[in-house]
Amino acid sequence: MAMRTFHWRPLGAVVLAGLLTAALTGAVPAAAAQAQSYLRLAHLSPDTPRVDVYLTAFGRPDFHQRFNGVGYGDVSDYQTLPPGEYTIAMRPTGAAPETKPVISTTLSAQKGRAYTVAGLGAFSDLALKVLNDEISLPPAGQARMRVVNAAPHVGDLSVKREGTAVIERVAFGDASSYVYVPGGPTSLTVVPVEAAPTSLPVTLETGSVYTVLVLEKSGALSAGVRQDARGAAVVPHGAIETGQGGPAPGDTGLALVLLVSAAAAGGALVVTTRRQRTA
Amino acid sequence: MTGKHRRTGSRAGFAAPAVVVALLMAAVVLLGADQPGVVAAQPRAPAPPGAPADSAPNPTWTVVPMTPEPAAARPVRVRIPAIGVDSRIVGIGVDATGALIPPDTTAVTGWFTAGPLPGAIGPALLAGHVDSRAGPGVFFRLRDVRAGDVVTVDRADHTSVSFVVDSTARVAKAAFPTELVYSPKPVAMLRLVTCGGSFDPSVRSYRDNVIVNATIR
Repeated sequence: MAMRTFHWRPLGAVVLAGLLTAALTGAVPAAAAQAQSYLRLAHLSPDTPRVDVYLTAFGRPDFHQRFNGVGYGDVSDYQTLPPGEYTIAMRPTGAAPETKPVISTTLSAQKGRAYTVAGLGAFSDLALKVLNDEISLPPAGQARMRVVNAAPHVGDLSVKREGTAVIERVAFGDASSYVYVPGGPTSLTVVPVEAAPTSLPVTLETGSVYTVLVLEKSGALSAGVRQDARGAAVVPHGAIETGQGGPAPGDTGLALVLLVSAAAAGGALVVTTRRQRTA
Repeated sequence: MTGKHRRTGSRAGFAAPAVVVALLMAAVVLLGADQPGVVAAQPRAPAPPGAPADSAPNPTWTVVPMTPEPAAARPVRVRIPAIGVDSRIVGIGVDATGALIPPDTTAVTGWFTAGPLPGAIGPALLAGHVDSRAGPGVFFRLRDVRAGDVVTVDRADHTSVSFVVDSTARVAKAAFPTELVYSPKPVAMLRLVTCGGSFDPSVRSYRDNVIVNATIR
């Protein structure tokens, strides 16, 4: 199970292998696929020092996870969790687990839903927010996209797509609502109020969900697009025809129908096994 | 493990100067001393209204390429030891009406090429026949799969990726759960689909689909 735990990495970089020690004492049960929840954790507060992140489940004392030394810009992969009530707490890195957390929040994880729990804003005003990551099926031909503004000194952010604003005025520490954009190669422009814009050439897959994440480290801005979830680029209509009425054991036993009929010409009784030629 | 999560690349992103680390350590000490305000960032003087652009902060931009997902190769074979499946995989797609077209023969499994690759993030779909007029198809025993069974997909690059079955379902084709089967997922999943239920001779079709849901191990 170890590899199913969170994998932290800063945007577009490598795993925090040396810094992360996940203490996983409660294995995640193999919940039914349609009954799973998905969770990832993020540290997006630029002046908040490194933290140890604790994940505990209400009513399940055997379940807890701990991620050490998580720093600004770190975003984990998603993990699957059974739906339920969870607490996420951040403590100064190295602090004892029984000490008071810097901040904590609760998550009511619903089946089939995905969440990002992120430390956002300035340290003096730190918020541990539960972001609802919308993973329902986008309309045909579309991808779903939002922006998270984690850059403290450049004001509100807007995002343009091929010159047209699609997301407007997202304040520092906030996540925008989702918008739909056509799948395919495109050019996004991230436009801060108080800094020069930058362009982000990307290819957005139809049926996928994206977050544009803007960070600022030591006065240097970075912008990246994360593919949070992927669905089918083309959604087939209807059910799947994968049987031809042969020997599969259906409810009625063998799909075998005996037809008894009199042959007009010979008057003979013919017993025929009726078989279907097409699915 | 398949190596899917193994990410390589420069560690330059972490080459934080020691001084920054030291500051962070100091900040943690201060945090422990319950003086959180001490480490607040120095506020930058806001640009005066109407100031020329060059007086505003003009930080450098780094455009981070999209998170590199290790390139998954095409699936070539699926193995489900619990039910004796060891089948070649072919690509399948939709017809002009938008319906998914299963493989031509019942001896192979179809991978829906407009969906995710098995092992990549998202719900990859494999469809196989339950039977043909001639006899059992490749997914004849799919309905016997149970939670916890392992499904392994071999890929063209000689790697493989394994999934663990979470759940199985038999759904009426008339109420096929399109949203559940094809909607975006943030983890690598596999769905195996075949036919089930009773056979309806009037439309030459089984009434149900059997759907097996598995999540990457």
